[in-house]
Formats: sequence, structure tokens, C-alpha cells
Amino acid sequence: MTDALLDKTKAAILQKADPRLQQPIQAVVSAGHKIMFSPQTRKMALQEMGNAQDPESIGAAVAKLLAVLYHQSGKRLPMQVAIPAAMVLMCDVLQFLEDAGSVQVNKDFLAQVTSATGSAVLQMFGATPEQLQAFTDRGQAAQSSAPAAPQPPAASQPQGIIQGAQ
Amino acid sequence: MGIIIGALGGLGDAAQKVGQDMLQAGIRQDQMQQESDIATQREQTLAQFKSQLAVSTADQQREQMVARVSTAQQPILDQGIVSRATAARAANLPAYDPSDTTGPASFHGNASDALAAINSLPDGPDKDAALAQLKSQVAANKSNVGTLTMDDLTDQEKSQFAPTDADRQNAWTQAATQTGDIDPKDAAMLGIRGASVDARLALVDARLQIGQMASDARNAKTQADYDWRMAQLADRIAKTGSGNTDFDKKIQLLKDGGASPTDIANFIMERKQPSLEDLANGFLKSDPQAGTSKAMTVDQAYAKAKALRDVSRSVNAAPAPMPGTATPPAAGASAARPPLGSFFQ
Repeated sequence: MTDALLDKTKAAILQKADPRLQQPIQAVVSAGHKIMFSPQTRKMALQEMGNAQDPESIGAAVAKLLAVLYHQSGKRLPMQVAIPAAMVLMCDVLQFLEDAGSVQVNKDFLAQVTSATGSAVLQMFGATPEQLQAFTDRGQAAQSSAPAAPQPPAASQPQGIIQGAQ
Repeated sequence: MGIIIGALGGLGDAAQKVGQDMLQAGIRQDQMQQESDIATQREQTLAQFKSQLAVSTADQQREQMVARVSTAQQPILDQGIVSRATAARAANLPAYDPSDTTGPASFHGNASDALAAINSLPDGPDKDAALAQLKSQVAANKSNVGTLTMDDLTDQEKSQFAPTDADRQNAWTQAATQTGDIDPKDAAMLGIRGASVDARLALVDARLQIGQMASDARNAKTQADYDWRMAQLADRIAKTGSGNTDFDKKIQLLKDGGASPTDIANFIMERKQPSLEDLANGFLKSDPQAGTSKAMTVDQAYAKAKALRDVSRSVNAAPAPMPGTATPPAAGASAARPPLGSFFQ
């Protein structure tokens, strides 16, 4: 049974995204599903989800999934697509964990996981602590609403895993 | 012409639209198939994840249970050590102090030794008085020892009165009952099962002992039968004639009588040895001084022959078994059996 809160969040994320990016976002999400559920790669996903009990570890798991997708895309995945896709995937991971009885999703928990996922993903893209704080504040204020895709960091700012790889 | 070309152009447009629709339908079908596959795989992954979680939860619960019971077990084990050490201290009566002339005559040293000494006394008022005196001293001493804790004990006491495996098992059951991890009824059943196992082991042990006794009895009977048969055989051989007369017949009698190959071989070796008379005659014949005053007398030759035969027998005697060498009962019986020659002397 799907969680209404998660469904609503996913719809809000996709609604806020640029209509031209809807299809690429869906493609990234589908690719994420394949990594999570296909027999060849599910072992890794199961391991990650087995450790994912709290918001921080769930956010870290989603960020790792996004990193795999980023490398699969030949490092051509734009942040405007990556961030909403990461948030949709986060909702899917939460739905999966809830279906398994591992977590109980409510408004507060979702806000915490959203904040943790945003931080982890932005760290990969090399966001500054100030940007992360702004993102966290926005996430807490919006609660269940989907976060907007942040602006790419300036070239002089510290590089994350993904930017460092570029 | 223009109409035809126009119509053809319209046909081309229509065909292009049909092609596009087919392509999009194909794409949609592929997409639906893909989504269906992912949904199936998701269900499989979910089932796997649930079982993984169940195992992990069960492991965690077990670990928590072990930690919980271990924590509850420790005070019980400590209490046992303290209790044994306290009893030992109470039983160790103070050494004799010659300067103390105020109190009545009292026991000193180990109370158990004193009790054993008292118990060896004949029944009567003296024994009763001594027993009362000892009990009173032990009680007083226990009071002097007071309430001990683990911190009061020496390392030697902690080591000396450390819990045994049985103590640990009992303490574990007690602790698990305290923490609620084992139902008291189950704990009682554990004790009954333990006693039942002990009883079964004792029964098996008793059966083994009975079996061993029966085996020993069978061996003894077999040995007695053999000895009796050999004694009968010795009679028949003696009737055949003395010395080595009808030697082959005697061997055949042994074979028919069921003598072991070893005994038959011993018989042959004993009988084929020259008699003392033959040996003595041989010495006399080979003596270069024979017929002179320095010649060997018959007695000397006989003594020499006897000594030679004794030496020969001691050399041929079977070596003593190595100490600690395990011998099967049957072989042991054979080794302990008297030589066949003993029946024929």
C-alpha cells in the first residue's frame, strides 16, 4: 500500500521541476529502480537499506545511489535533473522501507530524511556549508513540500565527490 | 494528375501518422513491460529484505537476551563465591592461643577435621558435649566473619571458590527466570530433563558395567574350560607313554583336544629338548679328561646339564608385558594361562 504522504511529495517534486526535464528525471528514477531492484545489483542496495534506519543513513544511501547513476551517465547528469530525481528516489526508498516494516514515515521523519538527503547529495556536488544550512532551513520550513533544485555552486567553492571527479 | 499527386501525398501523411502511432504504442508497451518487470523485481527485493530484517532482528534479540541474562547471572555467581568463602572462613576456627586462659577449652583449626574427630568418639555425653561445643564455636566464628562481599575476598579465595560449570548453568537458569527470558515452568522442566539425562547416563553406565562383568565371567568360564580340557589332554598324553615316545600321536591328541597353536609349539619345544640324562651323558662323552682323576663325575655332568636347561628355559620364557600396555580380555586370559607344560609335569 502506497503512502499518501510520499505520493504527494513525489507529485510535488515533479510538478515543481521544469516540464522539459520531466522525462529525463523519470529516466534517472527508472535507472535508480533498476539498480535498487534488479537481481544483479540488489545485493548492494539491500546492504545499504539494511543499515538505513535513521534519516542520516537513509540520506547517505540515496546519495550513494545518485553517485552510481551519475557515473553511469558518464558524468553528464545535470544537477537540475539529479536533485529532483534523488528526492523521488528517496521517497521510493522510504516507501520500500515502510513496506518492509523497517521505518514508519510521518511528516517529521520525512522532513528529516529530506534534509539529510539534500545535504548528502549537495555535499557530493560540492555545496558550501552555508548553502547546506539554507537548504536545511528551507526543508524544515517546507516540511512535506519538495525542495527546489539548488543553484550549482560557483567554481571557487569547495568541490564535492562529483565535481571533484569532473 | 494534380489530384492524384495530392491524394498520394495525403496517403503518405496518413501512412506516416500510422507509423508514428505504431512506434509510440511500441514505446508505451516497452515502457509498461519495463515498469512491470521493475515492480516484480521490487517485490522480490522486498521479500528478500524482509527475511534479512527478520534474521537481523532475531540475532539482535538473541544478543540482547544473552547480555541481559549475563548481567543478571553475575551477581548470582558472585553470591555463590561469597557464600562458599564465608562458609570456609567460618569453618576455619582460630588458632590456639596459650595466653587466653579465660574461655573454656575449645577446638582450633579446621572444623571439618574436628567434626570427623568427634564423630569417631563413642556415643555418649562427652561426644554430645563436644559436638555442641563445636557447633557453638562455628556459629560464633560465622558471626565474627560477618557479611562478606566480593571486595572482601582475597584473589586466592576468588579462585578457590570459583563457580563450577554446574554452578554456571544453574545461575544462568536462575538469571533467565529472573529476567523473564525463561518461564519458571520451563526452568523446572530443564532441571527435570537434566536429571533425566543423568539417570539415563547412569543406566547406560550400569549396563556397560554389567556387560563388562558378563564378559569377564565368560572369559573366566572359557579359561576354566580350557584348563580342564588341557588337564584331560595331559592325562591322555601321559597314558600314551613317557618321554618322546609316540610323539606324533601326542601332537595329534593336542590338535584334536583344541590346544592353541602356541601351546602345541611350546609342547614341541619342551619335549624336543634333550633330557637331563641325555645332556649329562653328552657332557661326559665330550669330556677330554674322562677316565682320568680329573674327569667330570656323573653328578657334575648332571648338575651342569640342569644348570644349562634352567638357563635355556629362562631365555625362552616369554618377556613380561610392558607396563601400561592395554591387553584385550581374551589375549590377557591367554597370556595369564599356565604353560601347557605345567599340565604334563
